[in-house]
Amino acid sequence: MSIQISGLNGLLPKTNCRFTWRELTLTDTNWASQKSYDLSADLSLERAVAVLSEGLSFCEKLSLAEAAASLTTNTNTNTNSHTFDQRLFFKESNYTRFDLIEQIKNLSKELPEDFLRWCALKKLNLKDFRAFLNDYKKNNDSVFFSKLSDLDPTKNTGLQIIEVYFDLCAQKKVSPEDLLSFKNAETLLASLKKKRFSMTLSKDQIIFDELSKIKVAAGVKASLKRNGDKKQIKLELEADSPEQLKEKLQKSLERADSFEKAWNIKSGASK
Amino acid sequence: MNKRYLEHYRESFSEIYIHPESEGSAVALRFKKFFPEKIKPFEDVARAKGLMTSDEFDQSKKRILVQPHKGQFFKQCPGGNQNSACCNYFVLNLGSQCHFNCSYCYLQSFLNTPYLVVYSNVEKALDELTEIAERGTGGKMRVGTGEVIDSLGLDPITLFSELIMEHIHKFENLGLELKTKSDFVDHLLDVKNKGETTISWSINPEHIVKTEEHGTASNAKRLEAAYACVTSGYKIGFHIDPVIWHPDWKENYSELVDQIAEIFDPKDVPYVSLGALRFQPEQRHIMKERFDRASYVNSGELFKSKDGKLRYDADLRSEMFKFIIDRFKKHSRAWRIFLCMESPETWLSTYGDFPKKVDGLEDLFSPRASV
Repeated sequence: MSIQISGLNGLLPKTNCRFTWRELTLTDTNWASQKSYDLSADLSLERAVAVLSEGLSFCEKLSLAEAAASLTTNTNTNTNSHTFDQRLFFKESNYTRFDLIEQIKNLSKELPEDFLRWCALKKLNLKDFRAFLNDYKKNNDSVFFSKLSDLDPTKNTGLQIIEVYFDLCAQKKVSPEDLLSFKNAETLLASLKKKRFSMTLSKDQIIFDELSKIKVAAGVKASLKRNGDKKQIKLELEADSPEQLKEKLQKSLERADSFEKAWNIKSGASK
Repeated sequence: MNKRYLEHYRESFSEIYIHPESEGSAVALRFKKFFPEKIKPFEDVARAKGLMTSDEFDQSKKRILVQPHKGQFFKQCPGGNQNSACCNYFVLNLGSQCHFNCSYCYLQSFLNTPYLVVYSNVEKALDELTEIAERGTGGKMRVGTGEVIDSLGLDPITLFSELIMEHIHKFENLGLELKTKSDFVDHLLDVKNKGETTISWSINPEHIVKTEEHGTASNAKRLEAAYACVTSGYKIGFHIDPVIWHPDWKENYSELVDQIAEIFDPKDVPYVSLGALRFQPEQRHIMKERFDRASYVNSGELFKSKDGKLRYDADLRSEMFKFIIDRFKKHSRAWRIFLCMESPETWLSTYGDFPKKVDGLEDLFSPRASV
């Protein structure tokens, strides 16, 4: 018999073969035919967990630690007085903020499993969970997290989506249902950012539109680009010869006032 | 200590710890005298690495630790670097953490000590000041005690400011700035040897004080305290920092400027500084955990700037700065206003010139002295 881990069942770290410690399953494998190796003959439970945890992501470490801890809480199992100190385990893994780990452990029991798999796959670390730790509301947000897992974004895109989504939820500018139609994570992120930074980006858009209207010469295109806290005018210019380049630069220079006017256009966004 | 202060502190602190090496120090004795019921046996708590959790940070504001400072008290202000213009400021840290609770406070991403620390060996700080003053830097040095702790927040207990004023009074090349969001000035009004001391207030419209600067004195109280200081012979300063965008920002900042200009004469106020909301990106998580995620600060539209901090769009910053400066100048051209921790580009778009060339600010931005 192997012990089932409540809450994190099915999320045990994946290794090339299955490792157990006596009747306790510590890791899972993608290959059903793989043999299980019982580490209890050679290693204490603490040592087995420490060895297996090397190279695992934070989420996988969390599952492994939960699995090991379950041995001492499962009353149907003859534990032979084995204990597993999760606090010590995480401290030795350089995670010193155990209060935060406890909060994430509790949260992970409520998060959809497909999202937890995504977290493990993308190797999310402790601080990544802070973007939504206090704001997760099971009834509504599980829909969001499942949708996010479906879209399978990169770690960076996914974390940005989570943060912006929760910001917008707090501002009551989004609901999980708004996200269901999106087929692509990047498009979803762009749409959320448009709402989150609506004052700045709508002003950028107005300037962008004004710049696009300026007729300089064929093959010359002016647009607006955001670079962090600054706006930049981007001028694209194609020329077939040095003479043409000179001519187009000259014409662009003649339009300098128009560029300035577009840049300073009042959108009323900053009131 | 007056009753109002005592009540305020009794509500603010939960526990007070005295390090064995600080037993018998003047500041430890005062904590014991005023708050005997809060004194707990000293415990050397293991310190975790990295940022504190929001609960730990909240607790650290309520737990006082009096201990000796082992390092250097006197430092150059970190404000001047390749990305921002420097105003020749030096800091003297007499503790760390603050019992006020501003949503944007940079200490949230700076501290990892679970206490509000008060240093007991202030005489070492005075020795450092003597050494620096005697060595000299060729110019006047402005020294501030409000970098990692509110200069006056605990001053009615510690009485550090009076000690430092008395000390710098002996040196012509030292000026002191006490920076605060409190109105705790009663104990300073009768100090005889003030030296060249400026007491300055970080101020914001009342609406922002209520929504973002929790536990601090109201703006009216701060201005009242500032007026009392002017009357008793101090120079004062104002830092409108951070300027925070909100829907009624023009009306609210106009009202604030008008209040200042109606109460004070520019000659009593050597400078007013302006700075827009800014913080390190990693700080945003603890801010969102500790305060309303929809607050002005947490919902602000901030973008990464060249120095890595999150800031409003550069044009919006300039617009807000220009607006506030123009409002001051409508009252009098004599108001001296500078931008704090801003890029040369923002200076250019706000003032049309670099700080060293702006009328009235040349001396503040003369080549940086070093110690």
